[in-house]
Amino acid sequence: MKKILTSSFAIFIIFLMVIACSKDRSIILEDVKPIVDTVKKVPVDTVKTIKDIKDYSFSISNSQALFDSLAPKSEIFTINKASDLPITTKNGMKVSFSIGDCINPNGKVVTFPIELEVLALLTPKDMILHQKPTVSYGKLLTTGGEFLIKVRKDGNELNLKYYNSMNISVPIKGNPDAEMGLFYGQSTSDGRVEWLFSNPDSLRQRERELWLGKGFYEVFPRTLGWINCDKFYNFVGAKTKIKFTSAYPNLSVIKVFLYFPDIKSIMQVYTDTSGDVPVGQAVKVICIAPTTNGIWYSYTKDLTVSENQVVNIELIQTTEKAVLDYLKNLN
Amino acid sequence: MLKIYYVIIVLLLNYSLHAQDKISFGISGMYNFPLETIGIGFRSQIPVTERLSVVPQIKYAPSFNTIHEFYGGVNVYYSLLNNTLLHGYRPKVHPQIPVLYLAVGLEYNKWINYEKTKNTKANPNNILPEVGLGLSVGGHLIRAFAEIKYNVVWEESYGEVGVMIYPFNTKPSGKNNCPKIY
Repeated sequence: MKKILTSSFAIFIIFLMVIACSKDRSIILEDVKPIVDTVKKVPVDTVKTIKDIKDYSFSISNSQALFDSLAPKSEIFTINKASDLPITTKNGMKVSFSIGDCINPNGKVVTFPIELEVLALLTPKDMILHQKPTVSYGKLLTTGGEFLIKVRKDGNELNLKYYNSMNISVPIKGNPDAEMGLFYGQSTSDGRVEWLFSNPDSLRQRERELWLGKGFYEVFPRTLGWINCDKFYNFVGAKTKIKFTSAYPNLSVIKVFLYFPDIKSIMQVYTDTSGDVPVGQAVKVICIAPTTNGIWYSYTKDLTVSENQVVNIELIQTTEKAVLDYLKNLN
Repeated sequence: MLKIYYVIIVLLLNYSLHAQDKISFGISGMYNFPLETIGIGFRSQIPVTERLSVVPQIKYAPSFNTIHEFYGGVNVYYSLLNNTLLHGYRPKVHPQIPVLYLAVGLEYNKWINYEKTKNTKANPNNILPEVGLGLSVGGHLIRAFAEIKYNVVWEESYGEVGVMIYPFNTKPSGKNNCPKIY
């Protein structure tokens, strides 16, 4: 009798298991929310040229402060327990990891609560305002998105174990690019960030670092800090450097960027000469300089790169809103 | 921490001496019912008591499936219907009697070709509790088994069919060890 009852119970349970199944994992989500805001038309910035207002002064620290004030800010999350993860940022980045992935500088695992800092730069506007161009030791990169990720315990930064379960879903516009890889940010002595290719040993290793999803990249980082989903822009044609001049103010107080819309790449120009750029490539020259009393000046120009090109920057007065709208329009 | 592992291993070995079945190894085919994917599995079954076993196992669903994934974990099996009968005071395994067992376990899942799906609980790396039922029957050295398990997080069920090999089981001799009567 016991055997009959047990067997009947087993058959009933098996029946329930087979019918109460979910096929959800086979239904791929197509509709990932786009991250780029609706673009507004840029107002024409034709008020006064710099020649009329030579009395205004500019300074490097002033430009830097104004850029810093407009740049996207980090989001800080306090993680009190495992179920607080994963977290999703305002622009749709999803970060998942386990507390066991994080170690303090002494190599010891830590306990909750911990603090997670995430800053996502997913548009040219964000990258320009944060002054994080997509260049790796002089070579242009095609970008799929940059982000900063830090974990802290009691204010002290933690490290990530080399073998860890952290994964970061980075939303993108359009389809993912199978050639993308990971670049890690290296701080330079002058406060910039250079992107160092993670240089995986094999394709398999690269697949372990970056997976492609519909509308997003899934990143499995080896370290915390600045991370970039990029690929080298392989250009076999001629390259040149663009030279910049400015009658007033001095170039050192003007933030100069080159945006290549066809290859989704940003170069910042720190001196009077750019790095190597591909001849024949369409480029937008973007120059911004706020005065010490808060008046914005800018110079923008759409060009095609040519040999030994010289660009004379002639700033004209504009507004903060016009600058932001122009940057938002870059895509 | 290492000492605890040693103690557990020693305890398991010690208990297995009292159980009738010795440690066994198996291979299986897996079929996920809702996703219609197939895979292969390897396992070991370590008897703890007459009814209880610990079963570490790994499973792999290759990339020709829509879902390419790997599982590794441990189940605990409890025999609902047992094949060990008492002969006097001595328990003896009758492998030809089917064993019906309940399985409870925890598995690590690596979803290798992960994509965002309607299942919001699914990530590239997952920890999944599961419950199931199984049936095994056969001989002293080789037994077939069939199982169905239910992943309670993803609400997915899968079946496994395979064989277990008991290399350390001794075949019972036909001798009757009755005392001689002179």
